[in-house]
Amino acid sequence: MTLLWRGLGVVVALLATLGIVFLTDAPSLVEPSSDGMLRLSWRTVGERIESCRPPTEADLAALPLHMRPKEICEGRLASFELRLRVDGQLLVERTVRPAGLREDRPIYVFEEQRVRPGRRHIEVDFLRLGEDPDDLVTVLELASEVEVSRRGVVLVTLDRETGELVLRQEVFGG
Amino acid sequence: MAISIVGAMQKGLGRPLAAADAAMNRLYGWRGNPLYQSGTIVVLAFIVMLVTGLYLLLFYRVGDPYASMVRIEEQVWAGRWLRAMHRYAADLTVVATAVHALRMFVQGKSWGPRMLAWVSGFILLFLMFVCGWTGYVMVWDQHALVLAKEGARLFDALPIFSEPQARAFVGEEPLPGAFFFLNLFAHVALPIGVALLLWVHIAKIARPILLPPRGLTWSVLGLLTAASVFMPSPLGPKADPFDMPETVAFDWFFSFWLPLTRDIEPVTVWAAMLSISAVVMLVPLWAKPPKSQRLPISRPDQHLCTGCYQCTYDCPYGALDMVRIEGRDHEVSQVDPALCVSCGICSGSCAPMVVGPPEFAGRDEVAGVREFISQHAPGGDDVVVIACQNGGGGVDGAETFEGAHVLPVLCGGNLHTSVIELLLRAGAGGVLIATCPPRDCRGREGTELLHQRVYEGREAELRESIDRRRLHVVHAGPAERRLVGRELLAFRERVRALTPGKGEADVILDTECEGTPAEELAS
Repeated sequence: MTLLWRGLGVVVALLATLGIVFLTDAPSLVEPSSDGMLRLSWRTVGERIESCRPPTEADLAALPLHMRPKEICEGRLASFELRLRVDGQLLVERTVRPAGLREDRPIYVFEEQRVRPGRRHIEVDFLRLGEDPDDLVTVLELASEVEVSRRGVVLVTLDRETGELVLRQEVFGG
Repeated sequence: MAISIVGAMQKGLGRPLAAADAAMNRLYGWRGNPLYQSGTIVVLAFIVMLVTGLYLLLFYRVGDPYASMVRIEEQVWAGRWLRAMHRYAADLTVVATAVHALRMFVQGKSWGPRMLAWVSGFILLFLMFVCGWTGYVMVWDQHALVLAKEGARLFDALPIFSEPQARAFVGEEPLPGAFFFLNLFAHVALPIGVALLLWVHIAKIARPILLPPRGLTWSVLGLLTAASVFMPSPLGPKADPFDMPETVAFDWFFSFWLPLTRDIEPVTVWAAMLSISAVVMLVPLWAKPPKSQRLPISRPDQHLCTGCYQCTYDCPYGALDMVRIEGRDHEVSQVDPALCVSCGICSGSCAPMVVGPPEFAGRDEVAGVREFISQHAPGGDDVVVIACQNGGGGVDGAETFEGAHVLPVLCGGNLHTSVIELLLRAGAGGVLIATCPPRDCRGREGTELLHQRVYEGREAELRESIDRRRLHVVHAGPAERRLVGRELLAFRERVRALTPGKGEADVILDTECEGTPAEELAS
């Protein structure tokens, strides 16, 4: 192997190393938009909707004496309606069901919406759905002005101490 | 259909790989060619990661990971350099693994007894990526947050967690130390799994080589050290769930998939990942040639076996063993079909020519060379080129090369030394053997064994009386035709300078083979 090839070998090895060094820390575009983000995220235990009735003769006959209840109750965890308005415009309107295949787990809300930077008026409503679709009870609500920064995130979450929705723009206790 | 697609892929990818091999051989010689050593470079990089990782572990704190990373970066005891080395070694692992997998695929080393190595190799690759993922999350910089969020998004699509994991990374609450503890546990435990699986990966080969040659080892370590000292990878800004930076510095070796998956529904991503994994895992089935095109496995003639054990020593896959059979007063050779890859190296190892794949055993080679001699009658200063079908400059397909007649063989290690002897005793001026570089031999050790049989007296050796000046071995990959041409011209000149060889009218080689009892031959 001549000195020229040897030298070329060193150059190629250095270039390959430089390639690894470059690709190990190469910038990648992850957020092309300069919009801010409105993030709704909280967890709450579900509310059980139950209806009870006295047992019929047939119900009682089907059970042994020591297992006969005074009333038979059937129920489920309530679903909720989530609504988000920014500057009066409805951005989100959806039903939030309890988690789990049997819908018997807590409620998890997670929603992200792009918002243009600047001062914005946001309204969040979290309403419990009853047996009747029109039977809506406001459980949580928030109406507030907020300054949305470029590429900044505004978090709407549930304050565990007060039980109310609050706005955060930095990690709580972080 | 699948076979033809795989065949076309192997051909299509084989050409650039052969060209890259040739270029690397030119630059570093076959001994230092990193492409031939891709598997051992992975092991070397893995060891570097283990050593540097153990040191970094002493200073990592799950309670405040980013702060501990800052401390490591500021450390006078080379913390910054060792962290960079840990990272560059991980990246090198990805590159070397990709080359290694490509090599194995192109060379058809994925099916039959090699299936275990292929499947375990794929699982190793998967573990390596998971290990890399946990490693990058440990740092808890912006890249870590992007990786964690994307990982959580994908896992939330599976019905395995009762609570959406993505919520952990939105800033609702500080991330618990338990998360980083679990992550650290996985990052430390996975390499143990990798080491165990590596053992499985090489379980079916004899005498595995785990590290590159010394020169290449020091070169790789030197380059990693130089890169770490002069260009240490910087620590990115701390992960902040309330900030959405326009760009984030990625490690493209481990996070190349992020820009692809981020805008796709998780279900589609899972479906794509599972489909790709299934296709790769099933390569041993796709790539397996039809029975008619497969070489038969080696078959020893147990009635003629002299019990010398040499084939069991030489088999690079440990596929041959000695057993007792009825009617023989000594142990005889037996092949394990689950291990034999039909490389034919045992043919070259057996002096009495009683073992090898049917049609490629020593006796078949001798019959072939006799026919070759009767057809071409080499004499004077004629040089005969014996060309390996897998490499050897790719000259095996032609009848002549640069005016020399070509005798193709399955592998350099498959070549019985009697073939060389017959050619020279029949009057050929010289024999040039064009075979693969040792670390690129399809049968792993064929080239080295050939060399030892020809020059170092290894059993089934070339007789001492044969003039070694009339013999030349060239190590050339399939794209190094010109190298074989140059070596042939130079060798021919050397042969011309010698006194012309004396041809023998009839060489009865069978009676001259050592080790075979005359009464057995007669029977």
